[in-house]
Amino acid sequence: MADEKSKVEVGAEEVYGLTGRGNRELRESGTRLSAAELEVLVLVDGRASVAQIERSAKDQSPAQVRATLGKFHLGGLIELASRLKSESIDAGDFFSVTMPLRIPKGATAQSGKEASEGVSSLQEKGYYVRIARRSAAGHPLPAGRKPVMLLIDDDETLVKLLHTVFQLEGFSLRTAGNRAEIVTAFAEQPPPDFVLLDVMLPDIDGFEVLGRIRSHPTASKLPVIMLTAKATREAVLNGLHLGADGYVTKPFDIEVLMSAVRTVLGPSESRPGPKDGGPSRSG
Amino acid sequence: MSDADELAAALAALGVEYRANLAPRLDALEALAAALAGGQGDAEDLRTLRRGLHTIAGSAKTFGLPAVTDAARAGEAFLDPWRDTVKPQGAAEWAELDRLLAALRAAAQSA
Repeated sequence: MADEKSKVEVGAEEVYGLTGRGNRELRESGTRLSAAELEVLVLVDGRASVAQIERSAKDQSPAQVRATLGKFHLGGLIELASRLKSESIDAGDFFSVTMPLRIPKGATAQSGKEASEGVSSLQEKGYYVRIARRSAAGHPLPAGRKPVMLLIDDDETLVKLLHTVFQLEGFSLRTAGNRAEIVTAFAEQPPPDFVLLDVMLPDIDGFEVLGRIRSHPTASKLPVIMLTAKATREAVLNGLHLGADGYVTKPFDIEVLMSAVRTVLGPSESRPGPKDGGPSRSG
Repeated sequence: MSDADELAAALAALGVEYRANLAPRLDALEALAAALAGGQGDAEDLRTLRRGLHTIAGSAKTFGLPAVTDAARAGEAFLDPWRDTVKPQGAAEWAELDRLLAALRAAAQSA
Protein backbone atom coordinates (compact mmCIF):
# COMPACT_ATOMS: atom_id res chain seq x y z
CA MET A 1 0.00 0.00 0.00
CA ALA A 2 2.77 2.41 0.88
CA ASP A 3 5.79 3.26 -1.22
CA GLU A 4 9.09 4.82 -0.14
CA LYS A 5 7.89 8.35 -0.78
CA SER A 6 5.02 7.94 1.66
CA LYS A 7 7.23 7.00 4.63
CA VAL A 8 7.26 10.33 6.45
CA GLU A 9 7.56 10.92 10.17
CA VAL A 10 4.31 11.55 11.99
CA GLY A 11 4.05 12.10 15.75
CA ALA A 12 1.81 9.89 17.90
CA GLU A 13 -0.10 12.82 19.37
CA GLU A 14 -0.51 14.66 16.08
CA VAL A 15 -4.11 15.33 15.08
CA TYR A 16 -4.83 15.65 11.40
CA GLY A 17 -7.93 16.85 9.61
CA LEU A 18 -9.20 16.47 6.08
CA THR A 19 -8.38 19.04 3.44
CA GLY A 20 -11.02 19.98 0.88
CA ARG A 21 -9.61 17.30 -1.38
CA GLY A 22 -9.69 14.77 1.43
CA ASN A 23 -13.28 15.65 2.19
CA ARG A 24 -14.26 15.13 -1.42
CA GLU A 25 -12.43 11.82 -1.53
CA LEU A 26 -14.34 10.65 1.54
CA ARG A 27 -17.78 12.04 0.77
CA GLU A 28 -18.12 11.57 -2.94
CA SER A 29 -18.80 8.30 -4.67
CA GLY A 30 -16.14 6.57 -6.74
CA THR A 31 -13.22 6.62 -4.33
CA ARG A 32 -10.22 4.58 -5.40
CA LEU A 33 -8.97 4.10 -1.86
CA SER A 34 -8.79 0.63 -0.39
CA ALA A 35 -11.03 -0.29 2.56
CA ALA A 36 -8.02 -0.02 4.90
CA GLU A 37 -7.10 3.43 3.58
CA LEU A 38 -10.70 4.55 3.78
CA GLU A 39 -10.85 3.44 7.41
CA VAL A 40 -7.83 5.61 8.22
CA LEU A 41 -9.33 8.56 6.37
CA VAL A 42 -12.58 8.19 8.33
CA LEU A 43 -10.66 8.17 11.60
CA VAL A 44 -8.72 11.27 10.54
CA ASP A 45 -12.04 12.93 9.79
CA GLY A 46 -13.10 12.19 13.37
CA ARG A 47 -9.99 14.07 14.56
CA ALA A 48 -8.48 11.07 16.30
CA SER A 49 -4.79 11.39 17.10
CA VAL A 50 -2.27 9.24 15.27
CA ALA A 51 -1.95 6.99 18.33
CA GLN A 52 -5.73 6.59 18.52
CA ILE A 53 -5.91 5.72 14.85
CA GLU A 54 -3.22 3.09 15.35
CA ARG A 55 -5.23 1.56 18.17
CA SER A 56 -8.58 1.80 16.39
CA ALA A 57 -7.55 0.39 13.03
CA LYS A 58 -7.22 -3.07 14.48
CA ASP A 59 -6.64 -4.94 11.25
CA GLN A 60 -3.70 -2.69 10.36
CA SER A 61 -0.26 -2.47 11.92
CA PRO A 62 0.93 0.89 13.29
CA ALA A 63 3.46 0.99 10.47
CA GLN A 64 0.70 0.54 7.90
CA VAL A 65 -1.35 3.30 9.52
CA ARG A 66 1.59 5.69 9.56
CA ALA A 67 2.45 4.90 5.97
CA THR A 68 -1.12 5.59 4.95
CA LEU A 69 -1.13 8.85 6.89
CA GLY A 70 2.12 9.83 5.21
CA LYS A 71 0.70 9.01 1.83
CA PHE A 72 -2.45 11.05 2.53
CA HIS A 73 -0.37 13.97 3.76
CA LEU A 74 1.87 13.95 0.73
CA GLY A 75 -1.17 13.58 -1.49
CA GLY A 76 -2.87 16.59 0.04
CA LEU A 77 -5.78 14.67 1.53
CA ILE A 78 -4.96 15.52 5.13
CA GLU A 79 -3.20 18.30 6.99
CA LEU A 80 -2.33 18.99 10.60
CA ALA A 81 -5.51 20.19 12.28
CA SER A 82 -3.78 23.30 13.55
CA ARG A 83 -3.02 24.33 9.96
CA LEU A 84 -6.49 23.83 8.57
CA LYS A 85 -8.60 26.92 7.91
CA SER A 86 -11.61 25.35 9.63
CA GLU A 87 -9.74 25.51 12.93
CA SER A 88 -9.42 29.30 12.88
CA ILE A 89 -12.84 29.93 14.29
CA ASP A 90 -13.71 32.28 17.12
CA ALA A 91 -13.06 30.92 20.58
CA GLY A 92 -16.18 29.46 22.13
CA ASP A 93 -17.50 28.22 18.83
CA PHE A 94 -18.95 24.72 19.09
CA PHE A 95 -16.78 23.69 16.17
CA SER A 96 -13.55 24.99 17.63
CA VAL A 97 -13.54 22.35 20.35
CA THR A 98 -10.76 20.10 19.13
CA MET A 99 -10.64 16.98 21.26
CA PRO A 100 -9.68 13.44 20.41
CA LEU A 101 -12.62 11.51 19.05
CA ARG A 102 -14.00 9.04 21.56
CA ILE A 103 -14.23 5.90 19.53
CA PRO A 104 -16.43 3.26 21.18
CA LYS A 105 -14.44 0.23 22.33
CA GLY A 106 -14.64 -2.49 19.70
CA ALA A 107 -16.44 -0.22 17.26
CA THR A 108 -13.93 -0.72 14.51
CA ALA A 109 -14.05 -4.50 14.67
CA GLN A 110 -17.82 -4.41 14.37
CA SER A 111 -18.02 -1.63 11.84
CA GLY A 112 -17.50 -3.61 8.65
CA LYS A 113 -20.30 -6.04 9.46
CA GLU A 114 -22.55 -3.28 10.77
CA ALA A 115 -21.95 -1.17 7.66
CA SER A 116 -23.03 -4.03 5.40
CA GLU A 117 -26.11 -4.67 7.51
CA GLY A 118 -26.82 -0.97 7.57
CA VAL A 119 -26.73 -0.63 3.80
CA SER A 120 -29.08 -3.61 3.42
CA SER A 121 -31.48 -2.14 5.96
CA LEU A 122 -31.33 1.30 4.34
CA GLN A 123 -32.09 -0.14 0.94
CA GLU A 124 -34.88 -2.43 2.13
CA LYS A 125 -36.57 -0.42 4.87
CA GLY A 126 -35.34 3.12 4.34
CA TYR A 127 -33.67 3.35 7.70
CA TYR A 128 -30.99 1.74 9.82
CA VAL A 129 -30.66 1.98 13.56
CA ARG A 130 -27.53 0.97 15.35
CA ILE A 131 -28.43 -1.84 17.71
CA ALA A 132 -25.85 -0.91 20.35
CA ARG A 133 -27.52 2.43 21.06
CA ARG A 134 -31.11 1.41 20.53
CA SER A 135 -32.26 2.28 24.04
CA ALA A 136 -30.39 5.61 24.17
CA ALA A 137 -29.32 4.58 27.66
CA GLY A 138 -26.42 7.02 27.64
CA HIS A 139 -28.68 10.03 27.34
CA PRO A 140 -32.12 9.48 28.90
CA LEU A 141 -34.87 11.93 27.96
CA PRO A 142 -35.50 14.58 30.58
CA ALA A 143 -38.26 14.36 33.18
CA GLY A 144 -40.38 17.41 33.91
CA ARG A 145 -39.90 19.22 30.63
CA LYS A 146 -40.46 18.66 26.96
CA PRO A 147 -37.48 17.01 25.27
CA VAL A 148 -35.76 19.24 22.74
CA MET A 149 -35.20 17.82 19.29
CA LEU A 150 -32.61 19.63 17.21
CA LEU A 151 -33.32 19.29 13.52
CA ILE A 152 -30.31 20.24 11.40
CA ASP A 153 -31.45 20.60 7.80
CA ASP A 154 -31.58 23.53 5.39
CA ASP A 155 -34.57 22.44 3.30
CA GLU A 156 -37.21 24.84 4.62
CA THR A 157 -40.24 22.91 3.43
CA LEU A 158 -38.91 19.68 4.89
CA VAL A 159 -38.19 21.48 8.15
CA LYS A 160 -41.78 22.70 8.26
CA LEU A 161 -43.02 19.18 7.67
CA LEU A 162 -40.88 17.69 10.42
CA HIS A 163 -41.80 20.54 12.70
CA THR A 164 -45.44 19.61 12.36
CA VAL A 165 -44.81 15.90 12.80
CA PHE A 166 -42.59 16.14 15.86
CA GLN A 167 -44.73 18.78 17.51
CA LEU A 168 -47.58 16.29 17.35
CA GLU A 169 -45.21 13.69 18.81
CA GLY A 170 -44.61 15.93 21.81
CA PHE A 171 -41.17 17.35 21.13
CA SER A 172 -40.01 20.91 21.48
CA LEU A 173 -38.38 21.48 18.12
CA ARG A 174 -35.29 23.59 17.50
CA THR A 175 -33.93 23.94 13.98
CA ALA A 176 -30.65 24.92 12.37
CA GLY A 177 -29.78 25.09 8.69
CA ASN A 178 -26.15 26.11 8.65
CA ARG A 179 -23.00 26.25 10.72
CA ALA A 180 -23.82 29.48 12.55
CA GLU A 181 -27.31 28.27 13.45
CA ILE A 182 -25.90 24.98 14.73
CA VAL A 183 -23.59 26.88 17.07
CA THR A 184 -26.53 28.92 18.35
CA ALA A 185 -28.74 25.87 18.71
CA PHE A 186 -26.23 24.07 20.90
CA ALA A 187 -25.69 27.17 23.02
CA GLU A 188 -29.38 27.59 23.81
CA GLN A 189 -30.82 26.26 27.05
CA PRO A 190 -31.96 23.65 27.65
CA PRO A 191 -29.51 21.79 25.43
CA PRO A 192 -30.85 19.43 22.76
CA ASP A 193 -31.87 15.94 23.86
CA PHE A 194 -31.91 14.40 20.41
CA VAL A 195 -30.55 15.37 16.99
CA LEU A 196 -31.76 14.71 13.46
CA LEU A 197 -28.83 15.60 11.22
CA ASP A 198 -28.78 16.05 7.45
CA VAL A 199 -25.50 15.02 5.83
CA MET A 200 -25.33 17.67 3.12
CA LEU A 201 -25.52 21.17 4.56
CA PRO A 202 -24.62 24.38 2.73
CA ASP A 203 -21.45 25.30 4.61
CA ILE A 204 -20.54 22.24 6.63
CA ASP A 205 -20.69 18.49 6.25
CA GLY A 206 -23.08 16.59 8.52
CA PHE A 207 -20.42 14.00 9.32
CA GLU A 208 -18.17 16.76 10.64
CA VAL A 209 -21.03 17.96 12.85
CA LEU A 210 -21.49 14.39 14.13
CA GLY A 211 -17.78 14.10 14.86
CA ARG A 212 -17.87 17.35 16.79
CA ILE A 213 -20.87 16.21 18.81
CA ARG A 214 -19.19 12.92 19.72
CA SER A 215 -16.00 14.74 20.71
CA HIS A 216 -17.76 17.39 22.76
CA PRO A 217 -17.45 17.13 26.54
CA THR A 218 -21.17 17.52 27.26
CA ALA A 219 -22.92 16.62 24.01
CA SER A 220 -21.05 13.38 23.27
CA LYS A 221 -23.87 11.02 24.28
CA LEU A 222 -26.68 12.74 22.39
CA PRO A 223 -28.73 10.33 20.28
CA VAL A 224 -28.15 11.30 16.64
CA ILE A 225 -29.93 10.04 13.54
CA MET A 226 -28.38 10.95 10.21
CA LEU A 227 -30.57 11.89 7.26
CA THR A 228 -28.72 10.83 4.15
CA ALA A 229 -29.45 10.64 0.45
CA LYS A 230 -26.71 8.09 -0.20
CA ALA A 231 -27.01 4.58 1.18
CA THR A 232 -23.43 3.63 0.42
CA ARG A 233 -21.28 1.37 2.54
CA GLU A 234 -18.76 4.19 2.87
CA ALA A 235 -21.39 6.54 4.25
CA VAL A 236 -22.63 4.02 6.80
CA LEU A 237 -19.06 3.08 7.78
CA ASN A 238 -18.26 6.73 8.21
CA GLY A 239 -21.28 7.29 10.42
CA LEU A 240 -20.57 4.19 12.49
CA HIS A 241 -17.03 5.28 13.17
CA LEU A 242 -18.26 8.66 14.24
CA GLY A 243 -21.01 7.22 16.44
CA ALA A 244 -24.31 7.79 14.64
CA ASP A 245 -27.23 5.95 16.21
CA GLY A 246 -29.19 5.55 13.02
CA TYR A 247 -29.58 6.53 9.40
CA VAL A 248 -32.68 7.40 7.43
CA THR A 249 -32.51 7.74 3.70
CA LYS A 250 -33.92 10.81 1.97
CA PRO A 251 -36.53 11.05 0.65
CA PHE A 252 -38.28 9.27 3.50
CA ASP A 253 -41.79 8.27 4.42
CA ILE A 254 -42.87 9.96 7.63
CA GLU A 255 -43.67 6.60 9.21
CA VAL A 256 -40.20 5.29 8.39
CA LEU A 257 -38.60 8.29 10.05
CA MET A 258 -40.83 7.92 13.08
CA SER A 259 -39.96 4.22 13.34
CA ALA A 260 -36.28 5.07 13.41
CA VAL A 261 -36.79 7.77 16.04
CA ARG A 262 -38.89 5.49 18.22
CA THR A 263 -36.28 2.76 17.99
CA VAL A 264 -33.43 5.05 18.95
CA LEU A 265 -35.31 6.73 21.79
CA GLY A 266 -36.56 3.46 23.25
CA PRO A 267 -39.89 2.46 24.83
CA SER A 268 -42.81 4.84 24.45
CA GLU A 269 -43.12 5.38 28.21
CA SER A 270 -39.78 7.17 28.16
CA ARG A 271 -40.90 9.51 25.41
CA PRO A 272 -43.15 12.57 25.53
CA GLY A 273 -46.88 12.49 25.01
CA PRO A 274 -48.44 14.05 21.93
CA LYS A 275 -48.75 17.80 21.52
CA ASP A 276 -46.50 18.66 24.45
CA GLY A 277 -43.97 20.39 22.28
CA GLY A 278 -43.39 23.92 21.07
CA PRO A 279 -41.13 25.24 18.34
CA SER A 280 -38.12 27.49 18.46
CA ARG A 281 -35.69 28.56 15.72
CA SER A 282 -32.02 29.17 16.12
CA GLY A 283 -29.93 31.64 14.22
CA MET B 1 -59.83 16.55 14.98
CA SER B 2 -57.62 13.55 15.79
CA ASP B 3 -53.83 13.69 15.65
CA ALA B 4 -53.90 11.60 12.50
CA ASP B 5 -56.39 13.96 10.83
CA GLU B 6 -54.43 16.98 11.96
CA LEU B 7 -51.22 15.51 10.59
CA ALA B 8 -52.87 14.56 7.30
CA ALA B 9 -54.26 18.09 6.89
CA ALA B 10 -50.90 19.65 7.69
CA LEU B 11 -49.10 17.35 5.27
CA ALA B 12 -51.60 18.16 2.53
CA ALA B 13 -51.10 21.90 3.04
CA LEU B 14 -47.33 21.54 3.02
CA GLY B 15 -47.56 19.43 -0.15
CA VAL B 16 -49.42 22.27 -1.88
CA GLU B 17 -46.77 24.72 -0.70
CA TYR B 18 -43.99 22.43 -1.88
CA ARG B 19 -45.50 22.12 -5.35
CA ALA B 20 -46.00 25.88 -5.58
CA ASN B 21 -42.36 26.50 -4.66
CA LEU B 22 -41.02 23.95 -7.09
CA ALA B 23 -41.43 26.05 -10.26
CA PRO B 24 -39.31 28.99 -9.08
CA ARG B 25 -36.69 26.58 -7.75
CA LEU B 26 -36.48 24.94 -11.17
CA ASP B 27 -36.31 28.39 -12.82
CA ALA B 28 -33.25 29.16 -10.72
CA LEU B 29 -31.56 25.83 -11.50
CA GLU B 30 -32.20 26.21 -15.24
CA ALA B 31 -30.76 29.73 -15.15
CA LEU B 32 -27.64 28.44 -13.41
CA ALA B 33 -27.24 25.67 -15.98
CA ALA B 34 -27.66 28.14 -18.83
CA ALA B 35 -25.02 30.45 -17.34
CA LEU B 36 -22.62 27.54 -16.89
CA ALA B 37 -23.17 26.30 -20.43
CA GLY B 38 -22.59 29.84 -21.71
CA GLY B 39 -19.25 30.01 -19.92
CA GLN B 40 -20.46 32.57 -17.38
CA GLY B 41 -20.63 30.38 -14.31
CA ASP B 42 -17.96 29.13 -11.94
CA ALA B 43 -17.38 26.11 -9.72
CA GLU B 44 -19.53 27.61 -6.99
CA ASP B 45 -22.46 27.85 -9.44
CA LEU B 46 -21.94 24.22 -10.32
CA ARG B 47 -22.00 23.23 -6.66
CA THR B 48 -25.18 25.29 -6.17
CA LEU B 49 -26.81 23.58 -9.13
CA ARG B 50 -25.86 20.11 -7.92
CA ARG B 51 -26.92 20.94 -4.41
CA GLY B 52 -30.29 22.25 -5.63
CA LEU B 53 -30.93 19.00 -7.47
CA HIS B 54 -29.82 17.03 -4.41
CA THR B 55 -32.26 18.91 -2.18
CA ILE B 56 -35.19 18.32 -4.52
CA ALA B 57 -34.23 14.65 -4.91
CA GLY B 58 -34.17 14.31 -1.15
CA SER B 59 -37.58 15.78 -0.47
CA ALA B 60 -39.99 15.55 -3.42
CA LYS B 61 -40.99 11.94 -2.79
CA THR B 62 -41.76 12.76 0.83
CA PHE B 63 -44.30 15.26 -0.51
CA GLY B 64 -45.83 12.71 -2.85
CA LEU B 65 -43.78 13.47 -5.96
CA PRO B 66 -41.66 10.34 -6.60
CA ALA B 67 -41.14 11.11 -10.30
CA VAL B 68 -39.66 14.48 -9.37
CA THR B 69 -37.27 12.80 -6.94
CA ASP B 70 -36.20 10.35 -9.66
CA ALA B 71 -35.66 13.11 -12.24
CA ALA B 72 -33.72 15.31 -9.81
CA ARG B 73 -31.59 12.36 -8.76
CA ALA B 74 -30.75 11.65 -12.41
CA GLY B 75 -29.58 15.24 -12.80
CA GLU B 76 -27.52 15.08 -9.62
CA ALA B 77 -25.94 11.78 -10.68
CA PHE B 78 -25.06 13.27 -14.05
CA LEU B 79 -23.23 16.12 -12.34
CA ASP B 80 -21.41 13.85 -9.86
CA PRO B 81 -18.36 13.16 -12.04
CA TRP B 82 -17.96 16.88 -12.77
CA ARG B 83 -17.28 17.55 -9.11
CA ASP B 84 -15.93 21.08 -8.83
CA THR B 85 -14.65 21.32 -12.37
CA VAL B 86 -16.88 23.22 -14.74
CA LYS B 87 -14.58 22.69 -17.72
CA PRO B 88 -13.78 20.96 -19.94
CA GLN B 89 -17.33 19.97 -20.84
CA GLY B 90 -18.42 19.60 -24.42
CA ALA B 91 -21.66 20.67 -26.07
CA ALA B 92 -22.99 17.14 -25.74
CA GLU B 93 -22.63 17.22 -21.94
CA TRP B 94 -24.40 20.56 -21.63
CA ALA B 95 -27.14 19.33 -23.95
CA GLU B 96 -27.59 16.23 -21.80
CA LEU B 97 -27.85 18.38 -18.69
CA ASP B 98 -30.41 20.52 -20.46
CA ARG B 99 -32.40 17.41 -21.33
CA LEU B 100 -32.31 16.17 -17.73
CA LEU B 101 -33.52 19.54 -16.43
CA ALA B 102 -36.32 19.52 -19.00
CA ALA B 103 -37.30 16.05 -17.79
CA LEU B 104 -37.34 17.34 -14.23
CA ARG B 105 -39.54 20.26 -15.26
CA ALA B 106 -41.91 17.88 -17.04
CA ALA B 107 -42.10 15.61 -13.99
CA ALA B 108 -42.92 18.60 -11.78
CA GLN B 109 -45.59 19.88 -14.16
CA SER B 110 -47.31 16.53 -14.49
CA ALA B 111 -47.31 15.84 -10.75
